[in-house]
Amino acid sequence: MSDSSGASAFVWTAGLPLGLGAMTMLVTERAFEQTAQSETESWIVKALGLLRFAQCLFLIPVVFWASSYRHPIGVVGGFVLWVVWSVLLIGLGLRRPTVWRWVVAEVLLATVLQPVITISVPGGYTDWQNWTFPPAAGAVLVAVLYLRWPVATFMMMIVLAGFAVSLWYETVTLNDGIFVGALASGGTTIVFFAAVSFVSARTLRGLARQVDSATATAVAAMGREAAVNARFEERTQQYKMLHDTVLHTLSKIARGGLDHRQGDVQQLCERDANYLRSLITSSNDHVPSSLANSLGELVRDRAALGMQIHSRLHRLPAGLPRGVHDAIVNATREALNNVSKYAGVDEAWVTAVGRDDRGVKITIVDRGCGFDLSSPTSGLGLTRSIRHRMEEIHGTVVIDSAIGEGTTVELTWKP
Amino acid sequence: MEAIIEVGAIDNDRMLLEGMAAWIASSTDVRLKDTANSVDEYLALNEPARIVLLDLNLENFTDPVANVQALREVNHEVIVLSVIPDVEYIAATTEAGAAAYVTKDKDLSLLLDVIREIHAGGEPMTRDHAFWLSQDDRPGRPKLSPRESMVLELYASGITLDAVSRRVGIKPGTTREYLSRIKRKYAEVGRPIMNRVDYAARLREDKFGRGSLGEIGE
Repeated sequence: MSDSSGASAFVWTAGLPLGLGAMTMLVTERAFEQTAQSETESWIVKALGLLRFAQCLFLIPVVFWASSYRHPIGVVGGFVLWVVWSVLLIGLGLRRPTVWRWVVAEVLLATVLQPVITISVPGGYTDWQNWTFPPAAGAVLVAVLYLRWPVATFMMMIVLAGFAVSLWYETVTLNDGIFVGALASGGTTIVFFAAVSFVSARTLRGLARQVDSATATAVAAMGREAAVNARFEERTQQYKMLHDTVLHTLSKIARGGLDHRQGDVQQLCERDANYLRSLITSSNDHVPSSLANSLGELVRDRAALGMQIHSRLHRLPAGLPRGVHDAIVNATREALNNVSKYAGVDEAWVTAVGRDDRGVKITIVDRGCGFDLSSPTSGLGLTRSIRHRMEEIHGTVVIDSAIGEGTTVELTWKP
Repeated sequence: MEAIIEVGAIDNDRMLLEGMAAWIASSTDVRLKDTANSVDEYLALNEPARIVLLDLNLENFTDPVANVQALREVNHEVIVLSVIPDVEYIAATTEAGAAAYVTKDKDLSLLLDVIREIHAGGEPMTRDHAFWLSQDDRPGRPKLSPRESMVLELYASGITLDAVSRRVGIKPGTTREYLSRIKRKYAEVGRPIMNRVDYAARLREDKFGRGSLGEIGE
């Protein structure tokens, strides 16, 4: 073999372990969110890219001996074609679902380039200026990594056929008798590297699959545990609320001395009944969602401050993100604040329903004095803090009002 | 004030019936004349009051829908009361012809308003009733037009009739008509087909489907 295939062997021996080593290292220290499989695939592409880059760099000198070629345009043009193709393949092709088409094109290109360049340089295939051996080996490597093994083997035969034809041409035209020896050594190199790459890639991909399934199991377990904890916390919170409200009121009545016909006792009972009702009717499943809880508490607090609130909660989704939950509750509180501060009434209607898209819609209504929506001073100022809160969670606020007709604030959020 | 409006109440809980009596006693124009623990018991009374307050869940294993139907068959006007709202039963009793739905926790004045309006031949719709009908997602529910759904939802949220009308862009009278029409649509779905004779009667009512299209808007 000439220095060309010797040099390519150098690129192989230096580039491949470097690439595979980097892959292994980064796969073991992979980021949590990415799956090991997608990351492995990404690193296989990167390693191939590294290898291709090294080959291109190493083969650049062939361009400078263009004057000594029989067909300089064939040699240089073919080289440029191969470089451009390599950039496309690594940058685009290998990340596409239709990767097999790209691989077949790569194999055909590498196969055809071998005889073309062999004809174009004075020394035939084993001339050091013939740069087509590394691309041929590279094409086989790509085929082995991305195609099923029977197809990959077939692709390898095609590349080897191009290799054999080129050698045969050299033997016939130059009569140098290298055919058998060169075919044996070059062929063995290609087959050997293909086999090594195949085994390494399969091992890596297998490991990545195992890591992914282990991670999925762990994540699912953590999710279950978090759900149980959240439910437990919610229950604890509910028991605490029940203790502070219903149980407290009932105990006071049971101890005697309280007349349930008295107005304030009736109010207390009504308030507690409202809370219980909100727990019972607000959610799809039997675990009341925390949004229903928080809105129920908010309504109860306002009732304690002397506001009369008609609340209707239905089908509120459980497990809203903390930020969304807080923003909705705070925006509702702010809207109720506005009712007491500006509407001139102490009665409000709060309607909260879950929507089909797992979102929520909260409507806060009063029948107070209302304001002129077109007046910039009153409208915007009153509602800025509500808007601000809902914007933070990419929710929407619709405010409707007219003088003498009360005000409606609609908060909508969808996941 | 002209004549006193007489009403009856059906509730399996004696204590609640007594509470209701005390509650209604404070009004000057409505009187609770009859009380019973079940629909059968009520219908066995001697000329029971026409307007009936019916507890949604009687806890005597009777079906709320069948209860309303039994009362409607002898032309009682039924006001359904409940402590815990159950959207399916509220929708189904509306189909069975219940005139109104009121939650038990609401203040007396609302209940009295509803009773007065029914007595005067009106079709009251409480906000609670509108709300639970707007949340009705049963597969066989009556088909409401987008505008009817919008009116129902806005009205349920507590907005005044005038504000609902302004937002939808219709007259307050039309808004009221929409609400009545929604209730009628429910009652249409609920008309039971018991036998062949009924079916024929219903076809006649529907004028074999010819006359119904043009008349809906009237």
